[in-house]
Amino acid sequence: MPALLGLAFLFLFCSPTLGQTSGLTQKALDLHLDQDSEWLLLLDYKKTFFGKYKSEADGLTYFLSPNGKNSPKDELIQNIHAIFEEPTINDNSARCRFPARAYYLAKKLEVTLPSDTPCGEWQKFYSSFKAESVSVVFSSYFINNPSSTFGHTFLRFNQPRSLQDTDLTDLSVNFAANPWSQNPFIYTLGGLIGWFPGIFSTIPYYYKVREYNNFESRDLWSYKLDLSKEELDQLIRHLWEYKDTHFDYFFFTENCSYHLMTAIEAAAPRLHLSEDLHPWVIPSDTILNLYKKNYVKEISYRPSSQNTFLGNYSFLNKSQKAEAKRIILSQSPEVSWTLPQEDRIAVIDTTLDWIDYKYNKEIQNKSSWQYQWYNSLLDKRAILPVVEPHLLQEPKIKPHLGHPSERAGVSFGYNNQIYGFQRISMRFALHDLLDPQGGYPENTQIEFANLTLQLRNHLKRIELQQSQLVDVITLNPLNDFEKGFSWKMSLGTRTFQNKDCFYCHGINAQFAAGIALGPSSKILFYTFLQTEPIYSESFKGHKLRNFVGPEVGFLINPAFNFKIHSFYNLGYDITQKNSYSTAELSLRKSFANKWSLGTKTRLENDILENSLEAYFYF
Amino acid sequence: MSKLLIAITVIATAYSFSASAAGYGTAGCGLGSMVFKDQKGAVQIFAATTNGTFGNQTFGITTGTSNCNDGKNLIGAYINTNYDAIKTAAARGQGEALTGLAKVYNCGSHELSQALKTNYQEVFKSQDAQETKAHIDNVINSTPALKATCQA
Repeated sequence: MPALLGLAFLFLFCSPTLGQTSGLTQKALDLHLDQDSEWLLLLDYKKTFFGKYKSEADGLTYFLSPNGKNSPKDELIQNIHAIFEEPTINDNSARCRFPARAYYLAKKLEVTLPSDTPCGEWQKFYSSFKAESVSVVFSSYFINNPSSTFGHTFLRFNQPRSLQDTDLTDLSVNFAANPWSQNPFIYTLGGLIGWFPGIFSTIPYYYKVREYNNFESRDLWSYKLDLSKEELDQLIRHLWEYKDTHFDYFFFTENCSYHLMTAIEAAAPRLHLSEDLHPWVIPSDTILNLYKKNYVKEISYRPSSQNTFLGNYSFLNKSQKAEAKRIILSQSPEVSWTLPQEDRIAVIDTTLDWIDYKYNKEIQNKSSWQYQWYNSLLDKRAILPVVEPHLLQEPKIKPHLGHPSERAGVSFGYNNQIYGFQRISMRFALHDLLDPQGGYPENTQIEFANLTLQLRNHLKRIELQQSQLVDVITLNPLNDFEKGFSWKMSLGTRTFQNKDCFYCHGINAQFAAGIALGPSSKILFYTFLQTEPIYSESFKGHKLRNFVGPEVGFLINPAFNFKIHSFYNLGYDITQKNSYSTAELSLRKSFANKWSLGTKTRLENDILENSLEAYFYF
Repeated sequence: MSKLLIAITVIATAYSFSASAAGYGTAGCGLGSMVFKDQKGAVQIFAATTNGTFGNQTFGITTGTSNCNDGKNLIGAYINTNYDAIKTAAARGQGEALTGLAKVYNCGSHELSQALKTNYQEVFKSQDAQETKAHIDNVINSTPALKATCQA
């Protein structure tokens, strides 16, 4: 009874505003806002397998209703109450914590939005952006770490700029996981199954530039989005709403790029960004998607420290190059005094670029020889005059011109035993040596989950031809400055031929290291020492064999869309005293980054196969 | 055979991901995850940088605005992160790192670049970001053209 009285009192006390809100609630329900795509996007609702809605946000303060994670409707009602009803507004009010929802609801319900003047923290956040536009920034390939070919994306909010200005002090917004363990196994598993919380963070762009351009020597490409001022503001409002929540991080699906795309889409639902994404989200695919749909209005490029060095080096004349080479290779702090001043400046500047690229970690340590070298060159440079910097060219390889990451293929062929075969293949990601170059790094292959099935015509049976979990090749041609290794690694199962059996299947791994030489940019020779363990039930005697031996090959790139690859490999198994040889020649021509056609001739021990291949990228 | 296949698959996946982890954090992206790692030189330096006088280890939606982009921290955080780039650009007398520095000091890039090149030895005698900031402030205060506009 007292409880009932209390309730009645409460009702009396709040009734004037409650009356208005329930009117608003009714209006919202009449408009079916709980099913409105913009509302669903703003709270990250996704339909589950059973057809119910569930929000991807995992921090529960993101919801005002106890059922909020699973009920767009309850959450809508509760938000209308909280945003339009609260008598006093401060930083903890729904009005201040969820400005994007407030803006959306006021617009849809055609009511005046309560002022956000009392929202001090939010206002400070908003004004620190000084944003005129927003760019999606793609950090490409990390040299010698092919798995970074997937790239990374984050946002940069562009301040108004004059021509000579810099974007370094703009603010960027990043989505990343905060792993609580560095144990590689937990790290991996946790990344795959969502153990780590992913959070949004805001950091000055110069921070990201140091991280990617300098420390990791990765190019940064910026794609300025064609958003209205209203959409841009709504994006900042929506990012603020992520302040206290997190999303369980899934490496392949709910990753950095995915949450950026859904955040942008929530602010600009007309873009329909998430509908074209694969269930797994590869950052470079999100760039292709933005570009293809014409949502990009400006592209800019910031070279990695490696490309800064290479670019500036290419501007040197012959004698300057010779002196720069001498200094870099001998690590000398003394620039020849016989050179004219202009040449000495060019040589020192290029050497400084080299040190910035090659030794950016070492020069942090004052007692290292690299620091001493760098410092004495700087001392010399400081007393020489200022010169105009060169304008570096954009590389021909651009991330937005790549082929889509998934690939399906068919092939037809016959072998020298006159048996025809047909194959279909499916590759989850990303790029092989013969695929159209587009936006992918040259002389590099990285394939994940590549599966091929085959039908040999006389057997009338579909069988597994190969299933490669991972297949990576990195060819680093030696040059005047870099003597890096080339290597390859693969793991999976494949069909093989030897004297014991033809078309047998086994588990295999390949590890190879060697060197590559590129006499011109269009041709590359390589030589490896390879070890390939194969385990197969079909082997007579020992089921596990290890073939060790040399491999030689070449790769010719007459054009971005036409490539030739050939290799010869000879392996010897010492326990069984048998050898294994493979020779292959492949040609492939591609069309519009969508299709490619090729031929392959492969001689494996005594079995020769010729086939025609066609691939589709999607 | 199938058990062996599963075992290899799991190990391979673990390796392929720890390879990417070494690059830029589990999960693919981010500074938040990089700061605590110690297997890479760059990351150590990064950790050192962010642990420095002006940095902050915990990143969140307001970090960039409150810790790096706000009032007194703004200039210090900029110098701390860009120390080498500023030093190199100062020796050359031009460069984007100096344009950014002039921006955080809110003054003319050309004048500041010139002054830092002239006073290069004095300004960069210390590798400590905070001391370097004090040296830069001194240069600004003793250069009338800069003192009038810069916020030292």
